[in-house]
Amino acid sequence: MNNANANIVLAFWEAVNAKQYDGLDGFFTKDYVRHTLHGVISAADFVKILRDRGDAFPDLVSTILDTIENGEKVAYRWGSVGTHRAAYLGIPATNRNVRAQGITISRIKEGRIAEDWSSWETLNVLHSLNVFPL
Amino acid sequence: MTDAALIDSIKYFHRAFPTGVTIVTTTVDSQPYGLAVNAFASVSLDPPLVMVCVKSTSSTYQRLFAEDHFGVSILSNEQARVAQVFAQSGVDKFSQIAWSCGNSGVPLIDDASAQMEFTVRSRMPAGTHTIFVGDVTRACAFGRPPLVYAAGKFYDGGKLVPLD
Repeated sequence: MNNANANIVLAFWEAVNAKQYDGLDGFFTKDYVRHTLHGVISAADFVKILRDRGDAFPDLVSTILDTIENGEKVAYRWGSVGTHRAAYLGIPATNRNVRAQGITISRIKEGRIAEDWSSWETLNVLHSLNVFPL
Repeated sequence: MTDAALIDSIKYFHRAFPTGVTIVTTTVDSQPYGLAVNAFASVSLDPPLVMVCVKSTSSTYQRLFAEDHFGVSILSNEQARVAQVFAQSGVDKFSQIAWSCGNSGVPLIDDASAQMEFTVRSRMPAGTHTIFVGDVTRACAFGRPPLVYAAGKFYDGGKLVPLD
């Protein structure tokens, strides 16, 4: 089971793609934290971000393109594609196709995601829509 | 939250700045949309860029995010009524005025002082408004004096007195 930790990450994103937001909590440890460029957020915060994103981009699909395991940590490169059909971060629908990509490192503890370090920047999505909030 | 007294003083400041009156337009699913905007400005001549600034509570605002082609008509001194039509919301504005389609399919106001079409390059949400910057694809002026807006009133741009 060399890929056990990577498989947990893959299963998590399969659930996100299927919009099974109510079940996402089961992927996280109780003390899960996610480190972002704007500070640390909780599992509930992260699920809300995913839910809002899924609502704004109803056809959104995220694909895990590469995984690297190292002990309790998994680094993975991902890409997402979706169409902006409803307001996102206050920006009305542009009906444009958007691509996002990033790299996340996850720490797995007893079969659950305990910690994430994400390179993803929300503004990247807006910038790809040619929207530049001041 | 900005101090209410400061906001009032800023509004008073803006009343001291005369502008023309533009009608910014677009087409969504073959339907014309537009609103009156006085926050229009030239940004660059080469490349040719202009900007318009639209309040986010405007009924046309959301549609301006889904479309790339915009029209700008500068109203003439005989079009105060057109300005009043476009200052309303919730009414069929285009059935009340004369207009034609531009090269990009956007509505342009007939008998305006000048008309322009541009393609949106970027949108910059900024507080209560969003700035739309675009590449000009066509511009023409017809020599008709402009409608002038200052301190909440319209003025006849053909009766301005030159200062020597």
